[in-house]
Amino acid sequence: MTQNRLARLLNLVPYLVARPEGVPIAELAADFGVDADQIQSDLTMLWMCGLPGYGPGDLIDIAFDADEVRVLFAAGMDRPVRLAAHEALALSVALRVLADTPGVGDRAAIASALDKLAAAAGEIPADVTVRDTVTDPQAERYAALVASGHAARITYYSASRDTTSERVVDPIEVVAADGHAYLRAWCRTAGEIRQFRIDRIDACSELDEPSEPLRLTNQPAPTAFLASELPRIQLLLGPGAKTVTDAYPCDEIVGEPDGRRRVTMRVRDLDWARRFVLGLGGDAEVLAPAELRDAVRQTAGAALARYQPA
Amino acid sequence: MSNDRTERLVNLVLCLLSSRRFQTSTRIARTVPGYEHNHDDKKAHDAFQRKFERDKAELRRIGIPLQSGIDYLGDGEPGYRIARSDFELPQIEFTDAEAAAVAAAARLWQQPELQSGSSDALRKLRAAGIDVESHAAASPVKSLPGAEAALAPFLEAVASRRTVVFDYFGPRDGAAQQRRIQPWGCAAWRGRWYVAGYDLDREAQRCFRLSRISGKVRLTGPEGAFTIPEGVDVLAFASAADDRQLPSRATVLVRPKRAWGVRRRADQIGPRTPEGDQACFSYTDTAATAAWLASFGADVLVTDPPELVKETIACLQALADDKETP
Repeated sequence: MTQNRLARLLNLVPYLVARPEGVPIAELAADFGVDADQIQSDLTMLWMCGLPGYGPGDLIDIAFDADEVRVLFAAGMDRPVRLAAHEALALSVALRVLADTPGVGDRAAIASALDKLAAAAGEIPADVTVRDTVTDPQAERYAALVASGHAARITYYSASRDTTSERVVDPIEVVAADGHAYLRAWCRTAGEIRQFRIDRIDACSELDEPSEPLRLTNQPAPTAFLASELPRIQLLLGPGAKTVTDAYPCDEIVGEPDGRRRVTMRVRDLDWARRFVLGLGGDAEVLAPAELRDAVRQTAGAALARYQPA
Repeated sequence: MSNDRTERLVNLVLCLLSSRRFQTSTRIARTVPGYEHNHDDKKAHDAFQRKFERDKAELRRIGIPLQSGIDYLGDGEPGYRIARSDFELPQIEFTDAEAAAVAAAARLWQQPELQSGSSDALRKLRAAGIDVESHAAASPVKSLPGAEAALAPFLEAVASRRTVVFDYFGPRDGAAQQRRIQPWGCAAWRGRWYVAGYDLDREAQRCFRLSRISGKVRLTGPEGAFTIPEGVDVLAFASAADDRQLPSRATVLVRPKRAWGVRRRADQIGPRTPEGDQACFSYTDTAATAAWLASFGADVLVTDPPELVKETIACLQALADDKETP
């Protein structure tokens, strides 16, 4: 993110004051997130600014030797500007999120960093509470597993398949998202990186061998697992099923005149979708595909038959 | 921002910072390059005053507050100064662990405004010689807080006490409805963001889930438009929906080696019957439990209590019903 130019100019002088030994132009440019030409023109502008009088001894003086920049006269700008309200808020709210996430780091250090930031900002103008970021009490145990660097054998219940299976995984990290904690790991059985919801891991034993996640790539977060090539379904949601739009990423949501919502979303596969729709308790109607509509009806019909007296 | 304006603002900052005395706008206009004009030409003078007002607002936005007051040696005209103690980042030192926490915090956001707020803050720290990023440490846990786009504008509105207008898709609304509120505070609960405040149209306290906001959040009206009541607990609003009912016991029959989800939840399994294994568990919400049991189809037969049986059958009937084909 590039900073507003005025803010950058006001930062440049104290940055150079703090580094009296000189800084190469390329390093300055990299640190300020702009190119070398921009830094050159920033320095040229600063050179023309200074204290009232604006004579040779009043203007900011900057020396360029052998491509290194040093400030000779700072015109009183020795320290950077205090953190602005939005800057202090962005960091302090983030620290509060971290403080509420188990296993994320040193709690005491997060708390004292928060105090120091508040002091540096003058005041932090909005109070934000963060609670129950992760409701699973086991999250810390899995953070310790990741930190141990060992592989593990887990028994995992997959809600979408309604099956429990045993697998050996190479843990990568614990991800806290949507109020749940997930173990992100290379699954040796599936041969790919998977996210396991921690409250669905029924058993876990640490193995005496190192965790070697084979492909540490940028895999999507658990909330973003729906890629464009997955099957698309369309549902009509009644009042009881509307929370679906909060909990699952939807491609499109349209309010219908009768108050229902027409939702288009991508699903992992149609068998997952069948279970998903069945779990909405009759508050959802499948518009497409027909195959899914039939599967839902058939499953429900077979279950109903069990309640009819023989 | 034009080059001229940037240069003028740097000079204005240096000028106001260089003296402890309040400087009148007349004096500033005569001193700082870029403000010079004919003081007696009313049009030119008005233009200068507007320019000066805009410049003051810009400085405030980037965190530089101008003090105004009357200099005791002057002629009684109010003037301006920047107090060094308001302007400068105070001396600040982080331990390695604190620096690591700040570095992790700066990387947390997915919202562009919050990302740039964090990275601008880190640049100021770096200008003071504090490089928190060099202390960034790998953590076994990654936190992904809700990425609701409305969070940044609400934080800003709470901080400046400004009214906000937005479209909200409430749980019972068929279409998004416009809301006007005075926001009191934001809270994250179970990984989701909420804002609570006073709803100007409904004339009552309300809490909103940010993920249900559709479109942009607009800040309107002046700053400082309201005061936040003492002791507001946004979190209490957010979690109020989580009412506690007394638990009931369910008894179901589960087909052999099927419906593992029910088996996991059961605290008692057995005896086995020809129709399946008997499983018992506690629940509070009849409608939600019935819907969940219905999702196992013919693998689960609910036997007790009667209201749960009835509700499950109702779910299954709704699901099996022939509905109009689009």
